[in-house]
Amino acid sequence: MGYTFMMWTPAEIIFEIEEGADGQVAIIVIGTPAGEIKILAELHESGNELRLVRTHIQSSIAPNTLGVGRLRAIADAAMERMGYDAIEIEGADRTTGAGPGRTPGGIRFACRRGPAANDGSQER
Amino acid sequence: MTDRRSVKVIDAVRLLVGSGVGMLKAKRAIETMLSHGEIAMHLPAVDGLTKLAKKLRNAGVNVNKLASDTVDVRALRVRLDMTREQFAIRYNLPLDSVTKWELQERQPDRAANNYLRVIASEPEVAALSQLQDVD
Repeated sequence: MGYTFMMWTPAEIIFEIEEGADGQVAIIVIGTPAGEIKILAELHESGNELRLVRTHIQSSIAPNTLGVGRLRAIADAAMERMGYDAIEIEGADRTTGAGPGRTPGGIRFACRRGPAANDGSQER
Repeated sequence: MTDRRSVKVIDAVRLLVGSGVGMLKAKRAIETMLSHGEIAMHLPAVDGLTKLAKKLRNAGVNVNKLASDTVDVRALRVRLDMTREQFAIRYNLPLDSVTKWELQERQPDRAANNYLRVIASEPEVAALSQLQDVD
């Protein structure tokens, strides 16, 4: 059976951010061709890095639809539009899925700029 | 008690934010509920509690409101089959207050009313909580 895994372009990824009054927490709604992903996290900025702490994710997207490539595409689009060089995501305790009560490990995305790309080009 | 596996955390937090709770406080409250099973909190700006409770239930959160009705002291005492004096002694209450509450000459204040609600709900526990060992 054939299987096609189309990579999303940055234009297909839409971000809506609802920030808490104190700016320490936000709900980020990510629109993708496969559906919506909602992220609730506490925000920690350090230089050009953004760390999402105690993160909760809620999504209507079917399991195994995302994959590492598409997660990477979302992270790249977020870094590009929000002006960060790296985004790190640390999960909150799981309430559903595999191992409720367990705190999942963190994941870090960094810009893939080469030395020649530091001139502000879009290459990542 | 809420089944933590069915909680849609982000939807629940949004509903609390819409009820006047700060987003960080709402997030922490839902996280505490997930780890302890329940949480008590004040919602400053609820526009229709029934509607909000239904939406929270859809997000996997069961909601109860705090009781505010005044306890009918006479009905309670009769249900427990006691005289006024027995009731007053057993639950460590001034007889004079019990009499005035029953005759509706005075209303129990909020703390007394909450204690009367405990008596109504768990009469044995309430009575035991008033006992002390003799030295």
